[in-house]
Amino acid sequence: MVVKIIKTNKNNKNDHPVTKKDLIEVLDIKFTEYDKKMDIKFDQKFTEYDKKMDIKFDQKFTEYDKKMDTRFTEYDKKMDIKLGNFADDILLPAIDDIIDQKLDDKLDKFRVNERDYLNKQLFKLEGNLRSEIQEQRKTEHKFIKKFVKAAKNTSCFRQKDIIDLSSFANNLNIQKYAVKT
Amino acid sequence: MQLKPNKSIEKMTWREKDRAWKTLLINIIEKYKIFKSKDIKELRDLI
Repeated sequence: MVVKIIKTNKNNKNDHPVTKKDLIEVLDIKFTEYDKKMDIKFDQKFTEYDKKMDIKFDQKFTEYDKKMDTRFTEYDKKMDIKLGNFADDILLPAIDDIIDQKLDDKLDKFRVNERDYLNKQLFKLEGNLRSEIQEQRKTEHKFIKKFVKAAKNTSCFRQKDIIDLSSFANNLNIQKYAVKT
Repeated sequence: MQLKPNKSIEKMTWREKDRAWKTLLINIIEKYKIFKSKDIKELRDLI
């Protein structure tokens, strides 16, 4: 090929001898062509290689994704079971204990307050009842005393009946129902 | 004190019943003039 080009150049340039310059020019041309071809080939190769690598990477990534999905699913299941066990064994009993404790505290306070309130109310009611009964007994006592006094001035009653009435008035136990302080 | 004419004994409170029998007693005593009128008046005041 080189010889052919040199010959062609030789014929075209009126039979002057082939110089080093001619050779370099020819070689430059050839190398340039070669470079272009190689560039095109490399481009094609690299494009093919890129495509292949893309496909391979896609496949690999797909497989990897699938594997990771499977693993994460298993991991999720395990974690669900572990969390479920943790909730059943530790968390819920602990919450129950806390709620029970708080409820007990609240109920204790409520019971104490309720007992105090009821005691106060009962004491108040008892005082009112005692006062009421004592007042009634006093009135009763006065009435019977007056009745006995009036009966003594007449001859209609037997002496025994008057004594009985009098002792009845004296046994009304007024002080028994005195209001406590 | 006069008895309430339209109220039955079952519907009375214990205080009303107490006043009622005392009033009846004094009415009887007054009718048969067993006590002096001054004593009867004092007894009525104590009911």
